Amino acid sequence: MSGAESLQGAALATAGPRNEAVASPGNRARLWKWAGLLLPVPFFALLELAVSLGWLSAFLFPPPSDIAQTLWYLAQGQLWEHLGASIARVAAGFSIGAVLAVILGSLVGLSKRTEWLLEPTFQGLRAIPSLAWVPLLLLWLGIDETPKIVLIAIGAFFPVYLNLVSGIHNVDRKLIELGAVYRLSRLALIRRIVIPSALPELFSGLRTGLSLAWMFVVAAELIAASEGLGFLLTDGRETSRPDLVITAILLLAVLGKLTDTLITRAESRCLGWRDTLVTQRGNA
Amino acid sequence: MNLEPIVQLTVHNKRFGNSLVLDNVSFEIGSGEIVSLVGPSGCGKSTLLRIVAGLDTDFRGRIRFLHNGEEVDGNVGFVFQEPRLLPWLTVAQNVGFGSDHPEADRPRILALLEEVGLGDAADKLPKELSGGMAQRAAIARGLFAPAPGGNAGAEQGSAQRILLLDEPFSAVDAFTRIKLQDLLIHLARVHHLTLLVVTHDVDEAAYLSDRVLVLGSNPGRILHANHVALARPRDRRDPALTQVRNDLLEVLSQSHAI
Repeated sequence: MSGAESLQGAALATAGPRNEAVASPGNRARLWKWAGLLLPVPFFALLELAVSLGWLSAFLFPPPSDIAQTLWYLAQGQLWEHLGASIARVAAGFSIGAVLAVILGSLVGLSKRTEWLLEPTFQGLRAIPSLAWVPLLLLWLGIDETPKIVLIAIGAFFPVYLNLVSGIHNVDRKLIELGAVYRLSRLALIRRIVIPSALPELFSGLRTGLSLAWMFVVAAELIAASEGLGFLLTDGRETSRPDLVITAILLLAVLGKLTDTLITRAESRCLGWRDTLVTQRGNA
Repeated sequence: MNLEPIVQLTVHNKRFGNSLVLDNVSFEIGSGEIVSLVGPSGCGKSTLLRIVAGLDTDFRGRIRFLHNGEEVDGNVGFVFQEPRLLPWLTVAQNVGFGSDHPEADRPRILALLEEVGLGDAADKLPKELSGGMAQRAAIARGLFAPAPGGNAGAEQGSAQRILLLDEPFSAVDAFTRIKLQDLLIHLARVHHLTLLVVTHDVDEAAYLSDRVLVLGSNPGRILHANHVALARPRDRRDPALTQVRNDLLEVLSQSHAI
């Protein structure tokens, strides 16, 4: 959808769906949305055709029908084990990382002293690409669940932490002044003005953190795992089965999207008050 | 007019860094009086308002609030130039922001909203309001005084509500401004409010005020105090009001302020 089109959609959203006068442009917006959802379909059809006509080697480019078969086969047995393993790791790692980030981010955002104390260290740690921790984690923690969860937690930590700190720092000075008019205590100011103001940025940090958690679960499982979607990827490569690799990729896409939707749902419930283009579109 | 003073302000001086912003500005405000501060931008009129509100304590001088001659804590509401509502709270929650018991105070909050013409908007979010409606909500919030708590307060009787307004109608259209000015006068009478209004609009100052203080700049000081002894309701076309306005403009132009 082009920028102009989405702006138009936002304007329409305010007009109300039952208004007959805008029914036609409303339908057009719906058409574009469906087109967006169906965009991959012709691509898959083309792939299927190309393989069946022999233009592409089925050995390297498994046609969508093969992938569907693989998925069906997996669903009879080990798929759930792999899914469960990856989901459990992401849930544990993301929760730990996000909770720590909220605690430390609040401390750094709300107090100059803890900011002076902790910020340089965090800046330094942030500069380390998270995957660089892998060898150390393996040495220290072995190859079972703990190093995987720690790696995911590190990945999820920084986006949540950084967004929360910047959300707290960006609180409108005018709203702080309003709190001063009411003689709010420091604690009340934080609870009643700072936290609600910082929520939008916290949520965008959570979303980024979650997508990084998925990235790192794959990294962790590629390195050493006997189950999980990352293991499925390695397994597919080692047994020369691209259909397995692609199935795992598709499952990761679906899971990533589903968990992201959970957060955006919570976000639109908590942040319905925002007067922005995005919330207007969300209401459509 | 000899009203019992409820605010006594003395500012010997107020500086921002090296520049002198206010130089020897002192005045009293009487109970129920409507006072406005006019002057060119940079004359420190908003700073004065912030001092009265307790937002700025970095000055040489003192601010006292009085009740029956006794010094009391200020009971001050503030209306900013823009509504400054908290976007995540409903209109009623915004109005009751200063309340310790919003549930118990809800009837009082709804009554205030009714008075400012927002009876239907109590549970709306600020983003659903027009600019004029949002400013009405901000006025209702400024009016809402938390119920006096504590025994000391109950014995002394609480201090009277003073509403401080910082160019409250400069961001709304002319028609809305007239309606809001009339609303403010109405509320001041009904609630026996004392108002201190900062404005750059000489017409507004003349129409609203019992007394207009004209400030000059560099440094800010009071050039002139003009009592407007016209009965209310006032007629905006009254020649006497036009005369007041012209007097004010005269003072301002003599000071090379405009």
